[in-house]
Amino acid sequence: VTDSSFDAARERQLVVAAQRGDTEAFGELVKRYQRRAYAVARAIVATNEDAEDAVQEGFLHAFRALDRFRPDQAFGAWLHRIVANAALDIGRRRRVRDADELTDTVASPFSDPAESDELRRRLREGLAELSDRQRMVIVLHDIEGYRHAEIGAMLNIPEGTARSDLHHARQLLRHKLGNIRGDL
Amino acid sequence: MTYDADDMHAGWSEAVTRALRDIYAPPAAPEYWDALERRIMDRIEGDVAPWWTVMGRWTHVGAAAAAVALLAAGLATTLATRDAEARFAYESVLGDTISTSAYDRATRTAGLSVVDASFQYVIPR
Repeated sequence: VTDSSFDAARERQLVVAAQRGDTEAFGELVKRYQRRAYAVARAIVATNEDAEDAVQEGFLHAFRALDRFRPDQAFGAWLHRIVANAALDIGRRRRVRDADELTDTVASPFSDPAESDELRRRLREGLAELSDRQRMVIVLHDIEGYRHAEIGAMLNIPEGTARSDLHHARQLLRHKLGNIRGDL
Repeated sequence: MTYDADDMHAGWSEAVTRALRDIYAPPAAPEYWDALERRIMDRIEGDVAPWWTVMGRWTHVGAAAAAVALLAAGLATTLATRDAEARFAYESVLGDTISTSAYDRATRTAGLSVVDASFQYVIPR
């Protein structure tokens, strides 16, 4: 079941039940939204493990903040903003912790010894050269399909900044891909 | 989710987007998502458990104490009723022959022992 096919009325029922402390209802929401939440988190942090942590943190924060959720909001968008904040927080803590190994940290999430595809290899290199925020924006936009305004809300940046980050990220990747692009 | 119209401009190949999707593809195995869901719910249930557990524990203690109190009150009422009934039956059978209240009064006011008081009522003065 995808988010889009998730019946809005059923979602409201689950949210209201969860607001009354029904953990089973919240479990149903977790089942429905965890993949999307993971994708959002993965766009922000560098590793799968950090993405998992961010998803867990995000759902926990959301559960604790349920009483502040207004039924007229879209639950998914609200949840994804919380997950994005949790991921940003984990990313910040990780950067502080790994400050001495910055080069390795940036390069390792994209290293794959078995990678044979030239495009993907160069793309990984290009992604490693992007700033964290540029990488987040390009992944959230080009892979997850979020709009600039939504990305801005998730990352706490102006919409125009998200737009400009996307532009610069693509420019850098285009340069990195070089003559391969001509063959695509 | 939809793309902003001006973003799918010429020069940004679909192949690059596909390659990006490959790189960031989430795990596909259903077991992975089942396990992640369990971990999330474990944390949430762990988060709410202390509150519910404490409340549940106090609810049980309170219910047990209330049950004991009810039982004790019920027992006391039954005993008191039975005693009153027995006393009433005893007095109604003996009538004025032996007035237990007069007997009580005699033992209390004259400072007589139970035996002396009994004699006093059995043997007329």
